[in-house]
Amino acid sequence: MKFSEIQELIKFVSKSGVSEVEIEDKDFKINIKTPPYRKGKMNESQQVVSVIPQGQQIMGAQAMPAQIPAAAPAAPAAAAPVAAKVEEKNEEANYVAIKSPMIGTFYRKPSPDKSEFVKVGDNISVGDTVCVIEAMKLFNEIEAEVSGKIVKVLVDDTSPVEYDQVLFLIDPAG
Amino acid sequence: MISSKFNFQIFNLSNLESTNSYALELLKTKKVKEGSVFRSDFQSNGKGQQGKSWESEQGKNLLFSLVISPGLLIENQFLISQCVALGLKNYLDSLAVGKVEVKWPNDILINRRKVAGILIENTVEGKLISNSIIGIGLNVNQTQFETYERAAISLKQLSLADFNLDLELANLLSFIKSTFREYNIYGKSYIQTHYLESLYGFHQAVLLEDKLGTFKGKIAQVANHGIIQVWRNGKLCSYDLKELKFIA
Repeated sequence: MKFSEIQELIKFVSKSGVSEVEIEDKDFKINIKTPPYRKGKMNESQQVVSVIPQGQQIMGAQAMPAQIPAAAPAAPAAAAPVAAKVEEKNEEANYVAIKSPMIGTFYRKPSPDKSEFVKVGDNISVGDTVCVIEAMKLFNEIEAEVSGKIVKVLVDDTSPVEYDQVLFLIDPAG
Repeated sequence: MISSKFNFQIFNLSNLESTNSYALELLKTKKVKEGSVFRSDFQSNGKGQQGKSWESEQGKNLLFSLVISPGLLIENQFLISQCVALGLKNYLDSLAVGKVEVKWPNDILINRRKVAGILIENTVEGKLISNSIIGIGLNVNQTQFETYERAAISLKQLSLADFNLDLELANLLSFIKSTFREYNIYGKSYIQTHYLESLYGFHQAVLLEDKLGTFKGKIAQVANHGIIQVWRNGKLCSYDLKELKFIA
């Protein structure tokens, strides 16, 4: 298995939501463990990747295919960015999402020549208008149900949105 | 349920940018009583469909925004639109000045020319529509239209008589309120059926345009959320607002 293939595999496993994958080939075995999901929150434990060259155990180092020694030390390095990602998610778990209550077009401004309702860094209170979602010539001013600071705007102005799509992330501690 | 227990209170204002924007701003700072009507003799920046302007000569037409608090789930928002379109249609039918049709989603035509437009802005709390600002522009006594000369028409052009704007406003409002009442009594499907039957292009095929080109099509159905279904060469096609154009 090539180094790039192992990297791909780690990425795939971390995205898929499965907790453990074990692949065994004739001359090596790879085992990828991901931290278990708690409701909406990631566990602090890191992703564990272990590559055990099968050949080493059975036949000794000299019989190993050339790429295996390269792959084994590479694995922890590949795991590092995954761990960083986990931490980022951890932080996001404390944020509250403002979701779209409907299918429509997302507008950040009351009209094209006016400024945006809210920007990243703005403090908002319950009842403040954060955006407009339009469908069938019906314009809906979406009001915040939480107070806090806008940390992220996830949708571009005038783009279509789906039901329940996350529009904003709010830090209630703000 | 759309409340129909409110009384109308009319606020006459002069030269507003847009009555809808005025009402929206007011709602942010204080409580606006349900049934409040903000009326202007002129709009410098009247809102039309998708950023288009609404052309109106000073003091000649009805331009107003009605505020209601429907407490309706947001998924039923198109019902407000349908009720208001039907209220307008019933009012115009009562004047007997021409053939009244609704152009999907919410323009009103008389003899295939635009006499009124509706623009609704809601404030949404969670999944509920807390306030609905119903903006209506109705061409009444204007007899010349610069930009929309062939597409627009007024009541005066049809009847050759001048209309009293105050009386017509009161009359129209009572028709709209009675459509809300009909919805509360007879339910969603009653409104939807009547809306469908009022549509331009429902009873006979009309010229339409989609991304593939122009075609003669007939409206089959309008879904809950306003998506239209049209018969196109024997096939049923669904369209969102921006995907279908009427070539009148």
